Amino acid sequence: MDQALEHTLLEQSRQGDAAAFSALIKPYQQPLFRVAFRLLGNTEEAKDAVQETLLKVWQKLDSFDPDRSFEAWLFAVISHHCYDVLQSLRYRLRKVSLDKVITRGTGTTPEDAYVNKELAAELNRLLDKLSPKQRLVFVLKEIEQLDTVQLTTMTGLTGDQIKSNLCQAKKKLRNHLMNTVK
Amino acid sequence: MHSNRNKTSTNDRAVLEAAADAQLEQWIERMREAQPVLDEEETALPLRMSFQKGPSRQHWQSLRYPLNPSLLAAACLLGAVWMLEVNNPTLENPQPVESKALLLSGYTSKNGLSTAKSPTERLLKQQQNEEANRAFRKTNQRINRL
Repeated sequence: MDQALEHTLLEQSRQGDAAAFSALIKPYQQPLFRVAFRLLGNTEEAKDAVQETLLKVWQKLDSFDPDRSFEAWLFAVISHHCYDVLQSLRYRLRKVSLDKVITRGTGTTPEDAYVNKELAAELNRLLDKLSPKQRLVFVLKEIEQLDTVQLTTMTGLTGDQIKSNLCQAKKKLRNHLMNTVK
Repeated sequence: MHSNRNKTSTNDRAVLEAAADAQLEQWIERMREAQPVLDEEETALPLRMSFQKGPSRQHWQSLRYPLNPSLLAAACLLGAVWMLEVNNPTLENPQPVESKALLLSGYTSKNGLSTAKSPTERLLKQQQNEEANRAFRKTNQRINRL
């Protein structure tokens, strides 16, 4: 999105213009959903995360510094939210019940539902072995391909912490894969 | 012999590690390419947020089958009449006011027998309970200290 247009929309949103806010966040909805989905491995949880993030952003627009990147702020909010969800007991409990019960994916078309379901299964097959922090770092660094500076801004972790979490995550995944190869 | 076996197991492990690494790389590549799909209805997210402020007059007016005010008034009137005339048991079986008051105060049961204690008795019992509880807690503390 054009910087000037984004700035205008941001100003209008700050004055309570919901239509301007809608236009402002529209290009980010799909990328936000993608990140949330990869982090949480569940369509419904990812949708909830996007909804919660947008609500938080809408409520905190006044405190946002316009000199900073709006996109970076959005992604920082959603990654923090997803991390909290991964850590929460609710997520773990819900996940157990979902694994047992749900065989459907959600989406407008059956094809979408199928894509999401398959992808969720594939993500969870490996990433469930990681701790919330390791999962966060691994997904953002390896799958989303963000650099360390971006990751530091988004997560609040130091460069060393990112490095060590990524190393541990890869080690765990490698060991798991080695066991399956055997 | 022993060192040969060790060399073989180290080689095996290296092969396994390499295979696992390759598999992990493939998996990461596949996950990068695969895109989860956000369905169309989700593009209305900010619209849902506007409801956080409460429904506006516009939202009420957009009901598909708006309520007819005169019909609503007539329905309310009918309901009130039904409650007063038809569904009022006191009109058919009037109850003496005193008995109801006694029932509410807790001094008498439906059979007219006294079941509850007087307020003074209740207060006394409550005080006794509190004292007993306090004594119990103290004893517990002492035992714990031991």
